[in-house]
Amino acid sequence: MLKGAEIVLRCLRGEGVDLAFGYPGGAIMPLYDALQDSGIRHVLTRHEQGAVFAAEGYARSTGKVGVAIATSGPGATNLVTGIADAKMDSVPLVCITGQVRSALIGTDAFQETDVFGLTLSLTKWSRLVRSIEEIPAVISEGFHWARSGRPGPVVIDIATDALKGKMEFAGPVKFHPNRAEVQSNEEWAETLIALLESAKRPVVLVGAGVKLAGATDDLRQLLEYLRIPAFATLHGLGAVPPEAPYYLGMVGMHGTRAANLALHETDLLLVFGARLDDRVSGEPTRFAPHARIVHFEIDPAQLDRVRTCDLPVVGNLAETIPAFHQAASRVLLPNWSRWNSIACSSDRAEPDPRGLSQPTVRFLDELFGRLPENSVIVADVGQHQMWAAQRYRGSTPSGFMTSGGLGAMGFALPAAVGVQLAHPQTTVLCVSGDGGFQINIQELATVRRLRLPIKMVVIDNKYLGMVRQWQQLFYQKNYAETDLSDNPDFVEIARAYRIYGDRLDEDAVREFPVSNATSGLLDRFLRSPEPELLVFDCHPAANVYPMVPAGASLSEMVFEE
Amino acid sequence: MQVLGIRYRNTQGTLMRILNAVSRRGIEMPFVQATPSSHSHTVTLLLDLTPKQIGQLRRDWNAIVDVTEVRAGGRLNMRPKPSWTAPAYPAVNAGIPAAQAVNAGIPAAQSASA
Repeated sequence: MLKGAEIVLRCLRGEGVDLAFGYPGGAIMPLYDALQDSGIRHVLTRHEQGAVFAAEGYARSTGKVGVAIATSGPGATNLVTGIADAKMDSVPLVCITGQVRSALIGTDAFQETDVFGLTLSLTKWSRLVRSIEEIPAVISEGFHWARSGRPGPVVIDIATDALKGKMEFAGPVKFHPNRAEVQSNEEWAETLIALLESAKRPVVLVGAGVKLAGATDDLRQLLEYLRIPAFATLHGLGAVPPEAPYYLGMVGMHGTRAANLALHETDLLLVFGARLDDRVSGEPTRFAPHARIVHFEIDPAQLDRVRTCDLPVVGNLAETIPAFHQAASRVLLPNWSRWNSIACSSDRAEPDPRGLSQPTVRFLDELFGRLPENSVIVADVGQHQMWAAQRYRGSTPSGFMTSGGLGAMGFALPAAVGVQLAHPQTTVLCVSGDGGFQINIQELATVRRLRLPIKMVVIDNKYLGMVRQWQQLFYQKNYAETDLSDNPDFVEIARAYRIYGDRLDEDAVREFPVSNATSGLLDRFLRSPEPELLVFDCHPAANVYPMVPAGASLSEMVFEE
Repeated sequence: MQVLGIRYRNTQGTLMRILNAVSRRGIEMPFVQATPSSHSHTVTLLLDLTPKQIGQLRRDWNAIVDVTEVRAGGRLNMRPKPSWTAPAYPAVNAGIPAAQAVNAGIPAAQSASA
């Protein structure tokens, strides 16, 4: 006879879970009581949001299902932002929450919330477990849905008496889905080749779906064959080697001029695993106005959100991309060299490739240029996120990570915990702003406790910078409630957590190359075997450019105020 | 107005997920009817939708794990309206014999439809 809590843990082990993140409390105590000797390492964060973001970081960097554990009521509600984030960014995640005992459910008992109800619209699948007998089947099914098709978050809310009860347990069960995996529609290849043969200005837009499908190599081979202009969404960064002559960088609101112009001018847009949200499309009615759109996507629900596509190619990209490559190799494709020379011309290149006019950009260049290969950059949300994305030059599919769809400030630090635990030998660089860093600053304790050698950078402009930028540009400089000039001293805060901290002023990176002293500071920071914090003091008025104002088309980029 | 029928396995929350796909878009639901239908359940919705919304909703519904079929068109099966004249809860004095009610100083129960 095993307790329900022991059965949960054995089922988790059966699903391959060896690491979970969480925060204990009343209703989930039976599970914590059974943790020892379960074979699952539990990482105690200092807030449930830290746990769920850490689980996301682990999942995003490994492709495995991340697991977060919390108690009922406030414990569960604190998971909600992370669950929403996982839904938006297609992250496989299972959240296990304790619930009040089954007899009390619905009575507004102490620490009771309707976790099932409040997460219903944020989850791919969820269950409220009221009896011990349900546990094995529910966990098996939950993990299946979390990792299958378009990955996503699952919530399993378990009444505390189900965790305490006992029953015979023969072992984890295997869930057999009664719906088929998404199959690709077979007829697309011929139509696509016809579209390609008639296209004068084809382009490729790469999204996260390529990486999630494990189709990065397939895509790279296809691009090498097609050799047409290609660009990536925020989550698609790293899928295309930045040195490829046809690669134009990031597209969208803060994308490169070359990418946005090519997207505006194209007559055939090939989209691979991106949902084309408003940050990528700009004003939807003026998005790729001359283009026919071919959309490769595993989740049909992502089609036609902005504009109706002309040819949906529904299926696993690891199958549809090679199939496209095969079909394309059987025909003689047009010569697109004239279009390539326009789209990739030096006229459209970055006007300030070294970022000499923007110290924060210079700083990030100096940092990124020193990172070992296969490092992971975890960016928070805000101006620094966009600067980091613009300057990212890595070609590792999981080398750049951020909360893209939800845009959840506070993501980076706990997510970096999950990444570092998944890859102990990898350099993990966490880039935050002064606003976002304070949203989950308590996870410095987790970093310190585990002595994770995360390199934490705070770009401190003493403002909620991105909001301030919008206030400057679109709200008549009414800087309402974005002033953070009374920020604490982050170096002192780090010291209080027994983490070494240092500070660098933006003047230190104005020269190119930087001085030996600055160079030495950056080298030492990145090579330290301990966690370290580096605060970069930058001017409050620094803005991220280029920028496509809300409601404008991608061709209407702004380059300065 | 369009009539849409969604067939689903009646598992926890599936009906709510179907309805939430509508409500999250701020679309009114003037008619909703959920009924058992052979081995599964069917919910019939009458919605005022643009063609784009129809496409989005159909794809969103199909993405729900336990939805098995989405169909547009069809007829509404309007059942007779229930009578809402009856009180939602038994009257406080329902079932109290007239003599006790009088003794307690409250009006006696009149009839079931009172």
